Amino acid sequence: MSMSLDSPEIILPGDPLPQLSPLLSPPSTETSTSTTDTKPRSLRLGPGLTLSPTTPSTPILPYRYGTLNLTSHTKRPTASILSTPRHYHPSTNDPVLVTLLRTTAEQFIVQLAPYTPPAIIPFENYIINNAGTTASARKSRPNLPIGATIYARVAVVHKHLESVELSVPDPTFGEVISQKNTSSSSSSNQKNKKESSTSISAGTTTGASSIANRAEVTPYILSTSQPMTKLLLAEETLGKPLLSAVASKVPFEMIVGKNGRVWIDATTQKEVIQVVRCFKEFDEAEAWNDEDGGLAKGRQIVGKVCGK
Amino acid sequence: MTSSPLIPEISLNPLPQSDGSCQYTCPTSRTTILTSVNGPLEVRPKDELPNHATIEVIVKPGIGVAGVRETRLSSLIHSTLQSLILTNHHPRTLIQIVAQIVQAEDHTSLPLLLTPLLNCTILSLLIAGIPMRTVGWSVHLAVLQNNSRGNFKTAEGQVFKLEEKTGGNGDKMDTEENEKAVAVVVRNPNSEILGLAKSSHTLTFSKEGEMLLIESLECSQGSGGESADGQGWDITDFLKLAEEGKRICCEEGVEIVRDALGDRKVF
Repeated sequence: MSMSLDSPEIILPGDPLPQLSPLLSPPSTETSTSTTDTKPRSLRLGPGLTLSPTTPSTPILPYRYGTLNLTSHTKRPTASILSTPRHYHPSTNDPVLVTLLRTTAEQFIVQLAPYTPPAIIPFENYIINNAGTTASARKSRPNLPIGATIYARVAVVHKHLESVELSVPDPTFGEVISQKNTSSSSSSNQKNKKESSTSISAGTTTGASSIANRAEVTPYILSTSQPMTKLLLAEETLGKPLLSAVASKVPFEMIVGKNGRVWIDATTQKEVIQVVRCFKEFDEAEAWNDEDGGLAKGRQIVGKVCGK
Repeated sequence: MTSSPLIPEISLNPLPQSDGSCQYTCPTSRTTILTSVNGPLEVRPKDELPNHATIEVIVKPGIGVAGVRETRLSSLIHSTLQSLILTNHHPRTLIQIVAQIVQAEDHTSLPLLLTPLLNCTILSLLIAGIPMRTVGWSVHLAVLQNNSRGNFKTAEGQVFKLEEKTGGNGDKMDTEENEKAVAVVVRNPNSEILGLAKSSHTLTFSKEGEMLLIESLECSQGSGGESADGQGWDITDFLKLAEEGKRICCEEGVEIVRDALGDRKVF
């Protein structure tokens, strides 16, 4: 356990977690001090932790390596193991970008990540318009082309269920279409324009004017690693060095799915490619692992790709 | 990384497309293994288990095509990992482990390959975030005849005698002052030392000191074929050896894992 003091201690699977003992409030009537019969009353276990009766000091077993993330000051304390495995493990309420594989009588079959069992979006989970009516009725059923990209939310994850269930709960979710392309193919019934959840712009806001008068642009869907995805989602903290560096050169819009897919749109095709290259090179260099959070590397890449 | 002669060279995630990968070079025998772990993946229907994840271990040989030896290695790794991985966390899925032997002194020797394979696999499982009950580490110990006069080279701290409890820095040359026949143990031997050995023991222990794997074999070269009954080692020697192996796995091995993973940023 000779970890350096500046970095939090790495927890290995099976490590005892004595620091969690005070949070496991013992039954109020008994004053037994033995930790074996204390049950976690109020502590919420996040990813990476599970209950196990056999662990030495607390009945909580870490099953992944990482650092312990403990919020004990809130009303309901939570503990989890922070780690960034490359594989995406769906958890409820995660925003994801999925690809439509096929449509059945009751649901869309979509893909979350390569080589994993497909996820489903039941039609009753698909809210199609601003009025909030569901698409369960046959005539109002959404008609999406195979291969369409859908921005959805993870609704149900259970390890014993057949597949992960997603939902499109409100108009901020739905099929992801480039604003430009929608206006050109407005005859189709794809009215659920996706207002991008994360829009970064340099200087002036990406108003309607910049989008309306641009030429035909195909947005890009970039696959990113899990650390990179976390970085892009945390746009105000972790991702700020990179995102502001890119946005100072190229205004762009992006939608980040936690499953490691990022939808990138900009005013010209060249700019789309530039943003994609910046993200890709940053990711491939594993710059998030740098001491400065990728600040220097991000600047260097942006300078190289977008010019001075 | 090569500060100590007994610390293996570990490179984490050398393969960009796999969920977790590791390249491991044994410090003394220079056996190099590359493993990749992917999972949980979609499982083939015939391998599907209703309540557990299927663990698949594929060992790819450094030379030639895979045969019985690789099947044997993969079944040993599989049975060791079965008790480490919490397979009930991802039912009806597949955890696929592929181990490639990159470099080895002797591609036909099971004991020389097994320890690097196991250690490398455990590191890549950790990196891949596969749910595990605990962490294990493996060590290979070769028992040498006391009178074997081979002038082999060993690293500092690689050799210890079974009599002294502390172990550590016993030098092979010190054995001549000892009248009693004291077995000399070399940890992670190379093929030259293994050739002189009386017996070879691959031991795997979990962090808590549970024994996960014992793979012992008698080597005819060192013993000169004197024990035909298959008992090439003494049980008291073996118990001492196991004690030392446990110490190496639980203290040094776990320290190596912690140091290797501690370099990585987690957020």
